Amino acid sequence: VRGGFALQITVDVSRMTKTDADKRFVLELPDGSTIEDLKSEVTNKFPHIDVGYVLILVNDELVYTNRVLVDDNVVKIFPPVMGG
Amino acid sequence: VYGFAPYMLHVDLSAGNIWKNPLDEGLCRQYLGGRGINARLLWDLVPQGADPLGTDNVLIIGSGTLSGTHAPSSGRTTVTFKSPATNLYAKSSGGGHFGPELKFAGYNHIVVHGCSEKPVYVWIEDDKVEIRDASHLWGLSVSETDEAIRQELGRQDIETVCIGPAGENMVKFAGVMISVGCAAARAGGGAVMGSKKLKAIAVKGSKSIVKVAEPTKYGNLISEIINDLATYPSRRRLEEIGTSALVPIRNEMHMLPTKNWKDAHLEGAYSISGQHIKEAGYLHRRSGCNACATGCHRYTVVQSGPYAGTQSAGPEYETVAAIGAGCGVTDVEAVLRANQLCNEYGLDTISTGGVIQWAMECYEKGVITDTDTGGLPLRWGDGLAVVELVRQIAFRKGIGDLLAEGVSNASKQVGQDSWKWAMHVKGLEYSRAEIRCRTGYALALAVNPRGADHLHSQVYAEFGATPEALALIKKICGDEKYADALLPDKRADIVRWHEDQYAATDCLGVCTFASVGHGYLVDPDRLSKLFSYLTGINISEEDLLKTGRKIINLEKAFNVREGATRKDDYPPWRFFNEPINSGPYEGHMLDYDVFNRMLDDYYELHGWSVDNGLPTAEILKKVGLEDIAVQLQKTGRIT
Repeated sequence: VRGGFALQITVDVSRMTKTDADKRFVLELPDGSTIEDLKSEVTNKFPHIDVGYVLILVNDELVYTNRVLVDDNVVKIFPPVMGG
Repeated sequence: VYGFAPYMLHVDLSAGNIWKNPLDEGLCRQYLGGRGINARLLWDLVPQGADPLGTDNVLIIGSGTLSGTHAPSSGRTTVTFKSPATNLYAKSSGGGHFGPELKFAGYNHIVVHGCSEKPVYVWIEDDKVEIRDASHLWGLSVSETDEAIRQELGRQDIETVCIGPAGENMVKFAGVMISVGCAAARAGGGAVMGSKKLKAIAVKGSKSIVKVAEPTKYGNLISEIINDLATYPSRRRLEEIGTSALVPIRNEMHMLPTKNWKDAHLEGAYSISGQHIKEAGYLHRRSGCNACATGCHRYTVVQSGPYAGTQSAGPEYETVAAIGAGCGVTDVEAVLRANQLCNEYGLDTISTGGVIQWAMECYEKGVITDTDTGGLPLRWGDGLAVVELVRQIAFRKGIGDLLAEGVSNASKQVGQDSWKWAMHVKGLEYSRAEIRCRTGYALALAVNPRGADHLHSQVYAEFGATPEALALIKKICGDEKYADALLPDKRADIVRWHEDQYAATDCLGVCTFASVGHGYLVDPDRLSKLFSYLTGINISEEDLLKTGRKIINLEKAFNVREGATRKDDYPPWRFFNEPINSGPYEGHMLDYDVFNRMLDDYYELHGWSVDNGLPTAEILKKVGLEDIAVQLQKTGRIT
């Protein structure tokens, strides 16, 4: 049952937190919500997860700029990494 | 000149002569230091057509210009030579502490000429320089060599570069090992040392610290940069987990090159990640190179099981991806053992993993059989086979003798279709990047003068869309939408900007994690200011990048003199013919027409011919390489 929102977005923060409960959850957002909106919502609900500086994958694809989400998107949030 | 050490040291191993020249101030102004001066020396000293493993090749070791000061992450040393892997220009850079120590002894660069008849090492203690017998060191591993020299000299305060058995046996991708745990690994500098019978160079400097032209400004800027780096998120992550933190995210995106790029995703890859290495207790300690502000270096230990006793520096992302995922191996302890053996034998882990996975694919397809391997099955995922092949390669035993030639040469010997899965450019094995869905990387690794390596021009935005990376893309292209790695547009502009920045960074001896990776915090503006405050030679951001471009043209010119053309600037066959087979980029592969357009754009932007990839004399003169333009014109190589 949707709580009056148009979008259900699955959010995976398993690489960000060690607490099991928060690893994967569903966020309900209004139609037209963007990645930045989602990050704000994650911060509201889970203040211990720092999403200020992260890599975002939408359906496993790295996202370069802010974009509008669509229903059933799976958003994975990773800490910044680099290497070589 | 402020900032630079006063002398250039020459050692001729054929004649047994040692001499030093005052460092030419003009050279410092024209080429900034490290990689730039090295490149100029290589052009001047190595004749066209020289055998990379013969007496005409030289090995040049250059300190970074900021090395020896407390400028953050400024301890990188560049080793330059004609590569036995590619027969072309090669530079390889490593961390550690050798470069700064060399400057403390009074030398900015060492040039090793000729070949010795018997094994030797060079001992430098300030003004005293000796060529010493190394017969008793020949055959020792890297850490054994370093320790034996310390014992022999009776001092623990020295720094060394040396080779292991792989370099002695002239494995085409043997590396130059710095301060034991660091490596200027790529393109076969260790084989060049082996051909010269040069086991090691040890140095101790006790001269005064590097003189700074404007110490207050220099110190203030350094403090500012250190503060910025200290709080930057990816820096903290890099210190905590190391470069192999990349494994899970690349695997999640199906961009982790697996089984020689046949696959892009490996089930169980988390076990070879930096995260698991830390969580499972293999991470023993962390450390940093000279004046490092990050501390990404690590030391790992295996305490029990079949690989008990394994302990070594690393492993880095490129290592676990090459000898782990690339070979389908998820046994982390086998990967740690193979990493240790590569470090001790003095092998480049990227190329070592590259030839092993090529051999595994040959075995799978029946091109290489048990007869060729001496009965050793080369099956995907077999960590024990990987460890055994590392040994065979280093000592050129069994099939290791074939693999020690690198995938390009080995595929020519084996024949059939094996060239189709020989993953290299110009003869250098590919870095561990999935480039079928990363257009800038595809171009950058193809046009790199030393071959398929990521440290020539890393388009960071394509793998990490940080705010700073996006801002840079906007600055270069006018719109941050060009960060999208699937777009072929503006790739030439982005790649060329990074070429200039990387070249300048290498001259100054700065780690690219600081100049590119951590949000471009040590950007060209800051690099130019650091250089100016240190040396008293005032250069602008524009001057710095222009000099970077001049160095890129110089390196290109070396390859042109050797006969390289446009045909040498292409990714391997697989990337054009076999698509990514899973994940969000399933179906993606390179397209010849699209790649040719990117390559045309790149040549045009440089002012090079789109027909053959060669620079014109006019362009070489324009970037400040007038005499080189004349030389190439005389030989008929350019017009």
